[in-house]
Amino acid sequence: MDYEEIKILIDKYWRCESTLEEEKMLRDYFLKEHVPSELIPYAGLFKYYGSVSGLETKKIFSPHFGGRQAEVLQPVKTRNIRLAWYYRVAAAVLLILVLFVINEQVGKIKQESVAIVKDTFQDPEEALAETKRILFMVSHELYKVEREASRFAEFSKAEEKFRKTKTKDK
Amino acid sequence: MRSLVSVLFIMIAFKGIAQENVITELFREYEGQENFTTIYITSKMFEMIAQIPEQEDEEDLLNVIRKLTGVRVLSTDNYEDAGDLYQKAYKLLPGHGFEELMIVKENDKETKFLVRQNREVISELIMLSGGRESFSIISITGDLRLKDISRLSKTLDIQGFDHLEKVDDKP
Repeated sequence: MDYEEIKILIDKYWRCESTLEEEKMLRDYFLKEHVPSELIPYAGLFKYYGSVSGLETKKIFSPHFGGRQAEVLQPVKTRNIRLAWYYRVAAAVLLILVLFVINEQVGKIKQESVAIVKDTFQDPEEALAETKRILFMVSHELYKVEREASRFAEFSKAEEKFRKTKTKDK
Repeated sequence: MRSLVSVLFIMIAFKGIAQENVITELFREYEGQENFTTIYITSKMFEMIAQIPEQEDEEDLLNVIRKLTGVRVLSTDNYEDAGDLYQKAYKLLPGHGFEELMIVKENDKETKFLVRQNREVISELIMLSGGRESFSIISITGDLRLKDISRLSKTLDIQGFDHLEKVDDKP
């Protein structure tokens, strides 16, 4: 067999298109013939196949393989993950029901809060006056805190200064 | 996994409702009771207020008011269990997305500020105050900036209206 022929066969082998016969030819080639240097990388592989091809398994696997008693295989009961169709239907119905109830509740709560929040004033001018009053009340409290806070900040600044001079004195 | 997602979804949905509801419930409980006063100003009213022709030298005030969507007040000056009510309201709020901002203590009166924040923006401000027989909760919703609100009073302070609140307390 010449080099070109073998090359074609190897290509066929890598494409998984070779027949058993052709594979045997490859094995024989690499076992016996002198291999050109370009094909040396493949030689090991086919030599190995050639050496293993002689091995055969025993015709019958003994049930007492390795001296062990054959285990009698029992079917294992497994949970069927694919739920029965009626479970699925039940789950779907339940989900729809839950969504429905939630929707109902949300609607009710919204309605109630709308119902309860009735404007105290009908006249925007009055409402504005009241808003002003409330805002000033809140603002006044906020401002009080702010003023205290700034006073406190001044105080802690002074305290810090005092401490610094004290440590300097030592 | 899917059920976990749906449970989470439902929880989130309910959380939103719960936040809306905690103050509403408190109002509903005491509204109409003797000695209690409630004031509601809804977003609809604020839309109408926005249409009132502007007056001069109230720019700061109107800037704040324009961004409001609601004001609610529940107050009483004559309620025996005012202290308990104050504690109750105070305990109720932090669990519902409100954070405490500050406390002012004055004689027998205590005032707490709580806010609900949506990222940087304050979406609701609550002023909760309680005394021996007085209680009030003021909820202001909208796009709020504390600086703008406190500035309103600064201008008043300069004008010598420091005791505005005390004046208001008298009928």
